[in-house]
Formats: sequence, structure tokens, C-alpha cells
Amino acid sequence: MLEDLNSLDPGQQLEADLVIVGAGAAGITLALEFVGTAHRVLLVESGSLDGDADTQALDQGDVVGMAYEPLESARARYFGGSTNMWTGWCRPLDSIDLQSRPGLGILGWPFGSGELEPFYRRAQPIVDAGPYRYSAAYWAESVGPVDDLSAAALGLTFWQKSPPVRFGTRYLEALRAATNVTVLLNANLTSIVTGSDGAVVDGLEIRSLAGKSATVRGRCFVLACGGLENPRLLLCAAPERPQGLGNEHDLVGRFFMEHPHWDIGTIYPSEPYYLVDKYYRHVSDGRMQSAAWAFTGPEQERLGVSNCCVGLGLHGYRDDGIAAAAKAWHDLRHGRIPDEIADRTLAILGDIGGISESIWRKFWLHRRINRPPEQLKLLVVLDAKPNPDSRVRLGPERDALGMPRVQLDWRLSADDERSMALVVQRVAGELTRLGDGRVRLHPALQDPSGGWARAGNLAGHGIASQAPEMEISWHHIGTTRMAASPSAGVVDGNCRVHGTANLYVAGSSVFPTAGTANPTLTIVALALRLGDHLKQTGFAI
Amino acid sequence: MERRYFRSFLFLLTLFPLSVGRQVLAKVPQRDFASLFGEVTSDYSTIDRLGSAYLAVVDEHRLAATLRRLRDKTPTRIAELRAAIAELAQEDLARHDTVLVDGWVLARAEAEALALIHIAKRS
Repeated sequence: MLEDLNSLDPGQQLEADLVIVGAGAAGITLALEFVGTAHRVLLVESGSLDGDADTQALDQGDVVGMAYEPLESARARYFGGSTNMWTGWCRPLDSIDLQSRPGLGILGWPFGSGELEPFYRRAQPIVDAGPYRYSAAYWAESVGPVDDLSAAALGLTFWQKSPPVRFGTRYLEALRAATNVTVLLNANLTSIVTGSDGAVVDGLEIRSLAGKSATVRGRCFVLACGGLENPRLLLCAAPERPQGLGNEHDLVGRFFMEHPHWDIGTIYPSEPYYLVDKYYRHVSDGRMQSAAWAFTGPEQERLGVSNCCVGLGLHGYRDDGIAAAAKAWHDLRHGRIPDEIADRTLAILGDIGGISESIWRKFWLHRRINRPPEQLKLLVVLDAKPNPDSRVRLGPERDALGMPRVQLDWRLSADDERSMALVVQRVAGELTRLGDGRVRLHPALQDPSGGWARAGNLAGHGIASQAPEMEISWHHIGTTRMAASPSAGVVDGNCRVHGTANLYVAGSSVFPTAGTANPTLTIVALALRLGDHLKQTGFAI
Repeated sequence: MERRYFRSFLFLLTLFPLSVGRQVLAKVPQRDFASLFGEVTSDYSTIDRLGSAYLAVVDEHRLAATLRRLRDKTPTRIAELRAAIAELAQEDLARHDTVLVDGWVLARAEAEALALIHIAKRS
């Protein structure tokens, strides 16, 4: 059932067994788990079915640390949440991503990868990312045998791509048709009502931007609003707990992590197609796949580095006979005589072999890349070491609902730079050893202590810097992290907020580590796991 | 030239070289370090630039050690010397012993050899 807070009677009181705040990947997945059960579910969404500027403006905030994109552009505040801007890449976290690594100061997850595996398998069809196969053997089925870099302690990790599934579109009808689920649109959480000790959440106060308000009462409450909004709400929405819910140890908002990536070098391939055929994106089983290299787990332990990964990017194509033929064909298709006919004809005649190969690759081999790349990019993705000083706080400004805006103070560390530099240099060395090509890295890597990543040279922002340009992934991770002990985390292993009896958090804010896997598949898996837990407990306090 | 003639010409062009194209595809791509090494040591301006860059940071004892390793390979001709350097470089790459010289990822022995060649050219 679909409702709009603006259409309800003023001051209405709503009741449900399970109240989920936030209709993104986590919230929608959790709600779907209860469709057809005996439990009443209320799914509260700030926005409407489509985005609007006023609601989106609620996501505005300050950036005080490393440069970041405007916070309101980094999320989508309407039904479907950030899946409305999701690229679709899916991959489970690696085993080492969940491990405790005291040498690196990394608190692991309160469970191992075996615990998540069945939930990943259930999550895979929800995100529609093809078969749940993420082994190197599956990759090799479509690209053929790949180089064995195990002697260099490198392994291949890879992604599959969802179309992408827009959760707000794909799953709207299922929720609308469910008689025990109510989706309430244009409803913003403004207050979490607890008892005097803050342990039991009695209800929520919600308001629309148009001024309508309502009270929600429930047995169990889940915040599923994303890695910036979840901590903001915990910090400011509970008047009985001014220091914030789950924040007895000042951990709410800390350990913010992203997946920044850099174009860190150039490969001059010895054979134009080998690397792109073996290691660049391609389509298999109807799904785009992509791969990257990373140190094996034991090598990461030996070197004391995190799980950063290195992949390939394209750097443009050679300007040769194929380019001339392509331009000529394009002109002819649009009814034009190709210009510079003489030059184009000579270029074509001089590259007959290349043109033939290109046609063969495109129409017979169905290769995605059918023009020889001039150069290839070497891209590195960071697996950030959790840093307590990298955090989300409440800012001084207030939003249209009178609530404090979020303030992002994002930081990286020298350990992050070291982890990336080592894996990049190892991959580059292996490509050289195998004769795949020469690699030239960004000059900034010549100085290991130069702070090239911490410079935060965000691409497109005109930051005057010698550091390589950084791009972000809009992944907001770790700000209400899981830990068995409240002195180490905000939620426990079942995602229940420490110090509360019936308040839970869903989404990437609960991840203790980021890995390099895009978070959506793990978000959905954890939401399924939380759903199972809540069904088992029956919302008992 | 009329459009249809050009289209026909282009069509024939794509048909005619299928045999040529298949020969291209039949080629085994050259993928070995020796050919990469050959490229970098055949260009004297590259040798000079990289050799002098590495000289600025190299440990002299290490250079002397590399000279001794080369001498132990007993090369008597330029081709043998080049092969010996490539062999040392392959050993270093297998040990992940690489250095950055002007951003280029080189085996340490490669970089040292370039430095030695640069010294020899200067004197």
C-alpha cells in the first residue's frame, strides 16, 4: 500500500510492528522480506516516487576534510534511494575484508565470510547481477586462460554488473500490492522517541516539508538511510539522549570510508589487444564483468597492507586506418561524402590488416574492444584503513526541518598510500615481467611520503595540485560500524544499536571495513540477514 | 567520387583483405620481457635520460654488485651483454625488485644497467 504523509490527517498516529526508515536498497529489501507475513510493516521514505529539489536539499551539508562532491549530489533522496543513481557493479567482500587485522589496527567484522555467503546468494537475484559466481574460473570461462600471477602473490578479483536494478521501479508494485506493508512517502524522521533511559524506542515523529506531521508507534525500528544520514539521525534525533543514540563511546559517525580511485599510471602494451581481452570489461552470460588484481590474503598480512586493487582503463584509440575507416563509414551512414578522402583512403589502404582484424573482432569474436587502444590506464581503488578521525558530525547549519545538517570530515592515511603503492608497483612489475607492456606511474608515487592520496585532488574541482586526480564512488561506509562491544562499535553483530533494545541500522554504515567491493550486494545481503534475525526474534525486546 | 562508388570501394576493401586479416590474427603476439628490454635499450636518448635519473638516487655499492653479477655471466659480445642484463632483470622482476625511474617501472638490474651505460657514455 502506498500513502503520502501530505494526504493524511494532521497529527495522525500510525502503528506497525516493524518500522523501516529509508526506502533504498536496504529498506526495500528488508520490507520485501516481510511481505505476506503476519507482521505489519511501515516503510517511511523522505521523498516521493520521483526526486524533487526541496527534498534533495535536505541532504546538503558541509565538507570540512578532504575534498568531496556536494553531499546532496552524492545521494538520491526519493523512493529507491541511491539505487536511483547506482552504476550496478556487484561483488561480495573478500574473506580478508571481514578479518580482524590487529597489525593494521583493523577491527574485523563480528562474523566471518562464511556467515554472509548464504545471504550473498539470496541477494544476487535481487540485484539481478547474473549467476552467483565470482571465481577466477568463471572469469576464465569467458576470456580464456589468464596469466597465473600467484607466484607474485596476486590474484584476480572481479565484478558482475546489474542492469542496474532501480529498486524503486523494480519493487514498487510488490510493495504497493502487499496488504501488510505500507510505504509512506514524503515523511522525514525528525525525532526518535525513547524512554528516559533511551533503551527502548517507543516511536518516531515524522514531518513532511509541507508541514504535515504524524507519530509512528512500533515494536521494532530500523534506520536504513545511508552512511551519512544514519549517523546524523542517531546523533540528533533523540532528545532524551543528547549525546546520540548508540554513542556512549563517541563512535557514531566515525570511521567514514569511501572507495576513491585514481588513474595512477599508463601501460604501453606490447600487443594491443591482449590485456583488454583478458582483463578489461566484457559481457558474459548477458552481464558486463570487470576484473582487477589484488594481493592475496597472506601477502597482505606479510606486507601489512589493506586489500586495494588495480585494474585497467582505456586511454583512447590509435589514430590509424581503423579510425579513418570508422569516420568514413560514419559519414556515409549519415549521407555525407567523407571529407579528406585522399588522406582517409591512404590510411585505410595502409592498415588493411588492422581493419580486417577489427571487423573480425567485432562481428565474429564479438569483442567489446575492436580498435587497438593506444595506451591503457592503470587504475587503483583504495581499501581504506578505518580511521576514527575520518568522520561525520553534525554541522552548524540547519535544514528546512530545523535539524542539524551533516558535516563530512573525510581523511585518508599514509598507510592507505603505502597499501596502494605496493600493489600498483607489484602489478606493474608483473606486467613488465610477462612482457605485456611497459608501465609508467604517476610521478607522485616517486615520493612515498608525499601524501599523494591525502592531497585529495578531486577530479574536476580545479584543485591546484601535483597529485594524481582522485575520483570518488559515492560509497558512504563505516559510520555506525558493527562490533561486539559498544566500546568498539555502534551496532552489534545483528545490527542492533548498542544500548537500545529495539533500534537497528541497515546499510553500508554498519560495515567495519570497506574492502573494494561496491557495497550494494553486501547491503542487500545484510538486510536479508537482519530480516531473518527479526523474524526469529519476533521483534521481542 | 560518387557516393555509391566509394561505398563499393570500401566494401571491396573489407572483403579483399580477409586473407590478410586472418594472417594478422594467426600471428602469435610478442609477449616477453626480452622484447620489451630490447626496446628500452635500443634508444640512446632513453638510456641517457633514465640512466642519469637513476644515478641520482642509486646506491653505489649496489651498482658495483650488479657489475660483478654481469661479469659473472662472462659476456664477450654486445648481444651477450644485453642478454645477461635481461637475465638479471628477469631475476629481479621475479623477486619483485623493481624501482621507479622517471615514473617507469623497471627491474632494478635494468635501471642499474642504464646507469652504467650512461656513465660509460659520459666518460
